[in-house]
Amino acid sequence: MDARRWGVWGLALALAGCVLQGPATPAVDAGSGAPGPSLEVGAPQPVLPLDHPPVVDPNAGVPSSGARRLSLAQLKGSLPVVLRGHTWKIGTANGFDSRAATLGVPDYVGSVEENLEPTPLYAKFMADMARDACSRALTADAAEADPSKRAVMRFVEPTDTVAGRPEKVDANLRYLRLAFLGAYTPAGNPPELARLRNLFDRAVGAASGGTVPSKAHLAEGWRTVCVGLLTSPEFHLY
Amino acid sequence: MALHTRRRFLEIAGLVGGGVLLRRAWLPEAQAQTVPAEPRFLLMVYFSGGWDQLLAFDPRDATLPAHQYVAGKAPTGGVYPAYGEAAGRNAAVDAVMQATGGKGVQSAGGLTFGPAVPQSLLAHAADLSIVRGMMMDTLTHEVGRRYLLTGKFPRGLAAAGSSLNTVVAAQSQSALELPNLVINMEAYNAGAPASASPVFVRNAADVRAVLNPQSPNALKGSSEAVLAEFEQLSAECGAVELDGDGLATSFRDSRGQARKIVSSQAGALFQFTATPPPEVASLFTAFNLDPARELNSVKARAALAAQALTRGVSQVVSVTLADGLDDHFDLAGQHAASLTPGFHALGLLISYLQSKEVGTSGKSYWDCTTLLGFSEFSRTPLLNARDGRDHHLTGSCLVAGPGLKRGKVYGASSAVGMQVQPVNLSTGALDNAGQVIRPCDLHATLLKSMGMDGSHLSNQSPRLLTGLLR
Repeated sequence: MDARRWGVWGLALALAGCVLQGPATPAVDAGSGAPGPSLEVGAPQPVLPLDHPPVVDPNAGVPSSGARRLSLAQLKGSLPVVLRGHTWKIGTANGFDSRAATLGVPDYVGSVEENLEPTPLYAKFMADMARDACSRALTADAAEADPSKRAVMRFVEPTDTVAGRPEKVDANLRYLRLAFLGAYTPAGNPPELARLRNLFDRAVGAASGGTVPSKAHLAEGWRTVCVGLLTSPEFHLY
Repeated sequence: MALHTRRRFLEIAGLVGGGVLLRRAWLPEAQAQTVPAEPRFLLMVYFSGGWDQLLAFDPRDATLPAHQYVAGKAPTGGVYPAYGEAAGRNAAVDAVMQATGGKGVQSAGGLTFGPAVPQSLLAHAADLSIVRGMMMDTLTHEVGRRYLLTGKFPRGLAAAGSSLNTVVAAQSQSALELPNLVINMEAYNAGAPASASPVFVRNAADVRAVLNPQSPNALKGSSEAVLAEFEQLSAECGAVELDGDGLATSFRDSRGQARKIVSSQAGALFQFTATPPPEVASLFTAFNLDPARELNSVKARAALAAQALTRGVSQVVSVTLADGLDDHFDLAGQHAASLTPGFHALGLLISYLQSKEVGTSGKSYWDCTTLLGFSEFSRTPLLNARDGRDHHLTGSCLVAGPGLKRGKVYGASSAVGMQVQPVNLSTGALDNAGQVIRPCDLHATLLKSMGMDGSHLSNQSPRLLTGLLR
């Protein structure tokens, strides 16, 4: 039998093996030694019902509960903390309250559980939220002389640019990552800092059209960074 | 080497057979699903509170002695239509009673309807089918509603899976702005892609809020462009850590779809205001909708559903067209008055879908739409001590669609007491050796009629209502 024929037979046997091998129901998970599901009554080893979820090896460390999305109540509480009192408004009403029904906050009549999926509808309203709240914060920042009382331009002056005061821009970006995302930015020029600096610089450049950026252009840059952070997965997931 | 030898044949057959078995063994069910080639729309219409089927889709002749009180004794047929009790209180029912010689049963398109069904819906009877005698297995509103929404019996009060609209939206892989629009109704997504998740709205203003940016000028256009590019960059480390279950990826996908939604400028199609733009004014005319008084009516909800389907915004629309049907009191005066406007709105909606062509396909939207009209259960065939009707297990529903037979009555409730009866699934006729119809059977049949997969219902052991399929 030539080599090609051996190859054909080998492949056919491998395929048959894939099909013929039935689903195994080991009584004991060989990897962890934990009991697995079994139909065998009176088996010498401990067994679980067939529909029991896998047993986690307690020696393998604390398992993660998986990522979750913030609820509307959590967002409503978080935003004024992050933006120093500013929040999302629709007209005069709180935006989280106005959109609560559409975003699936339970009314305990028709629904008792909030859907925490990051759906397109959620993303759309969070885009509204970020743009509105950041505009409010930046408008207030522009009128506030004391940087420590500002929400977004905390470590920069309204005239600071990447080219002119890079250390102040970086300090502000580090602060924003920490305040918005709870993420510490290590020293140096890590990629997460470079991404935000690039976003700020490009937004300022696009707004100024290549001319010397004004305070309004720089505020537009910070507004864009603010929206970018508030619409990032890291802000909404934990 | 000879091309046609026995050994060669066995080798090839083994490989082909192995490949087929391998595909069956390894391909997950979801990947094996087929996407229908033709446009498929789904319209779910809910009548909230439990409808009286005597007034609607399972009527009885009120003149029969078996359906009347005699000397204070309950009707021997265990059914009291009570159509006459609404006399003078409901003009629509009065008109039907007069036209039918007191029977109250209207005939159209080979089907029979109760006196609460208006002419606007009767006009489409030939396109519709009625499923009668369906076992709802519950007398609890939430359970019945969620049972018919998902095709799966709820766990306690909680829905046990995705609702039909989400299943269809997910399998359609629709690229429309709001694939799964839900107007004043419940819906569920359990495991389907986020893009198929229901978008809940109460009215046209909500739809505009979804489709339009809240503050169009909050960021300059140039900043939006820079931000859109920023969003396309590879994720931060934090987002990678959060993406164990794909949640961060799902978030980014949704964020991209949200950008698409607001850039569509479809919000203008939903200017349901006192002075609407031309494209909305013509819709109002078709629905005979007075924008000064009726923007929150069920007709306005039906018009909203029609606009979403026919203007390419939604593939699947679910809408509640009657509220407050849970009449345990004074049913004769109230129930028909609550039902009839919903049926009228449904009739107008069907007419509108018939009048609009899908692209240049030569088919109307109605030709491509599958309809399910339902309530959580029905009401008792006899009146209670308060002249109302309580909850009854035997349900009915209204169906239509390109994959379903038209003008068909499938199943029946019993002549005495309107009980559930087994039917022959291949004909829908009564058969003591047959099966009782359940919501999971209905769901499986509707999905089959749309060329879609119903494997998510497998733990309910659904049976196809083959006699309803074309």
